[in-house]
Amino acid sequence: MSITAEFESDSGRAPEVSLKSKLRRAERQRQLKGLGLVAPLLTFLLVIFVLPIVAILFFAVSSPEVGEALPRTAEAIKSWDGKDLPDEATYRALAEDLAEGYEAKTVAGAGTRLNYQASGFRSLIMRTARKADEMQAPFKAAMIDRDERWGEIQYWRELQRAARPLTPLYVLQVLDLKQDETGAIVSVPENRAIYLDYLTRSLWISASVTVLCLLIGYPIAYFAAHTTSNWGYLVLGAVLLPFWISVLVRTAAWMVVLQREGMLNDLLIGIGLIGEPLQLLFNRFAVYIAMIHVLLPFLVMPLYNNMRTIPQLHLKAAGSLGATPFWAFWTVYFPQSLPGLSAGALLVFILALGYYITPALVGGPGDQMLSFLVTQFALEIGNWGMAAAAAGLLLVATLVSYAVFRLCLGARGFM
Amino acid sequence: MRDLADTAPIVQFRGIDKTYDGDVNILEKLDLDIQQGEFVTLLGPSGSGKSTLLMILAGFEEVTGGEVLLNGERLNNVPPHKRNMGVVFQSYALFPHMSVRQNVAYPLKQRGVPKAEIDARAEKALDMIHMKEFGERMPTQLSGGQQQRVALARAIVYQPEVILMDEPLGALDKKLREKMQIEIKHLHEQLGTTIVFVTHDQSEALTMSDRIAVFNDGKILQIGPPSEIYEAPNCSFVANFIGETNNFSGQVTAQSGDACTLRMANGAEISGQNILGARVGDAACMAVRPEHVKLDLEQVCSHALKAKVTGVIYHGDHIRYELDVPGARDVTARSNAHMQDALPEGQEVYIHWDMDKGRVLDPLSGAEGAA
Repeated sequence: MSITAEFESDSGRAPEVSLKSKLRRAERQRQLKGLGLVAPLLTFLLVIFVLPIVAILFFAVSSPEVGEALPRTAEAIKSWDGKDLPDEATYRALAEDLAEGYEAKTVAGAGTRLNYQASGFRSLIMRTARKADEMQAPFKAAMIDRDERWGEIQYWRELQRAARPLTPLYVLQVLDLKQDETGAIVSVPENRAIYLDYLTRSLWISASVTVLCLLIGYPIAYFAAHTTSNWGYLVLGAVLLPFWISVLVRTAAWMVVLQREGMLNDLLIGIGLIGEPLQLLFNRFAVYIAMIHVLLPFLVMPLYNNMRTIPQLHLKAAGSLGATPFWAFWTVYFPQSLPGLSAGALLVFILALGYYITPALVGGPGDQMLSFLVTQFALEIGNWGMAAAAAGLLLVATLVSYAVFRLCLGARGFM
Repeated sequence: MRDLADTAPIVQFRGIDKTYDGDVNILEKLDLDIQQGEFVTLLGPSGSGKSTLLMILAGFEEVTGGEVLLNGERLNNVPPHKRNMGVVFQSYALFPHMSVRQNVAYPLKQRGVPKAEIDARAEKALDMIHMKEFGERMPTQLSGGQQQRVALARAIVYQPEVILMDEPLGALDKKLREKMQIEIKHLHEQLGTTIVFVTHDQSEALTMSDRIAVFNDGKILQIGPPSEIYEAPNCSFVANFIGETNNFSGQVTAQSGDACTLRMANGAEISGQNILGARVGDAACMAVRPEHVKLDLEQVCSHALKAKVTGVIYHGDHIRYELDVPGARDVTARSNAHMQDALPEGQEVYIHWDMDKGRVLDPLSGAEGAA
């Protein structure tokens, strides 16, 4: 009886369906288990990594200062059409806000914020605020009497723009753009376009460092991966040794080596190659040297690991098939080393993009990169909006670089 | 077998010496001629120098002394890519980043063959190894046997003068190996190209070759057609390396013409062919193939040896007896009898063989097979 039943269920379609659903159930259980295992890490990443980044990046577009310091004005000017000067109620609101804010010492912040948009605005605000509590109706005339700029429509337009909770100001500024009086986006005058230079310089320095690391690292990795002698480990050790020392110390060591009375200049003068010490520090040369030194292991390690899996026999085989040694290398070996090469190059490029310490210590003013801007705005100037916008630009540049790498190399089945 | 006598050798090794450290000779004063169209197998245990000789021919290794000639021209110092030889490696050495078709087209590309011709010839080569429909696959998507076929196609597609195979079937399982042996043999007949084949598998060598060169310790001990190597080994090493052999060690007590008599350790005397011209008093060893050992319940002739069956092993097409023979070790005999007629274990028997099947060779020693 039971045997017949089994036979019946084994034949026909029913078991196939149940098999599929069984498989799905098993798969789902496996996925849930997997998810459970990575859940702590995901939570950790979200709390420690993603949320702070999003929060910081929000600074790049948020503009709470004016709305908080001048709440009535912000409310009154919201619906202003921007064609004629605002009405008496708006002037009154501003006068009252300024009077209160002066008392509470909150107007300075709003003044600074407004000054980002139109220079001179801070002094205008402070100057008006000092006498705001003495003003009488009609407020419009009183304010224009205090400073005639209150009769110019462009100041009110800037005020209206700054009073909104979100602003494109910092993002535009870091891209060397601005809004003109009518709100259209235009380039800033050439003599004030300074921020994009940091971006192109970062990309250029990173690309150069990557290429130089490749030129230096490829032969090193090749030698270490394929030599039969113990020299391979020695070379690898020499490349990896700097890993054990902090970046700061390594960079400082380069300062000792490269300075005017440093070891390198002494050596060159000693052997009579130069008469005067060379300027080796605080220029692009020093930046390259120090960055390559720090970043080389990141290229060599993935490349070395990859190369060790490539049989040398392939080169022999290519040779027996008629390829010259160089051609055998180029058509057979090199393509097989691409996964390691692109992984290493990507690592070096992206790490280099965010470099701060090394260019700051051994570079000149013309060698600073995007991270320098972030530090400047965040720690020196205290303009968190600009700091966040610059950081955002760095993040976008990194993500775009990654995407480009993937497009160029990932399409071939690598990475 | 081919008649090769009147053609000039395509490959000649003359007095080849090879050493890596200056102390140990990998190859020693080695001479070998290979005829046009011949299938020559270099057979020997690992470390006997056979692969080294092949790598010297391919151009991957330099000789320490002597010269290599191809069609009468010196090959020394000619780099591998100018030698026009096809090499098939044990590990296939297919390029993993190229499809099967690109792999096969690779040598043609290196030679600047026009695109259309490359496609046609690659297609034809793939067809020859029955891999036509696998052209777009990547090597990693193929089984071991398929990969080796592609490697084969890649080595024949540019019609090299000599094809070198370095244990090409070593990584395959037994069934597949036997199938590929036959396919390679057919390919050889179709192409007529000279093939130099390296293996340590004696049955492979016997199946495939026109001639076998048996290597040991950097020297060729014997070279000849498979039947000659198997039936008429010229030393104990060859007799033991190729096929199974019973060894009867002893001292020569009498010699007449090309026959001689050997007295074993226990005093029993046996007779056989005196291959190496051993003289009375010399130590020697007689080699007898298991299939030539005859078993009888009665003592039918004077030089039969007393023995006892210690093991009966059924092999399907034959039965193998393990015998305990006083004065000799590990003696076996093959019988084509049916299992029901088999002798029982513990049976006392007499063993003997025809005089010409016992070959008196050099004595076995620690350095086994030193000629």
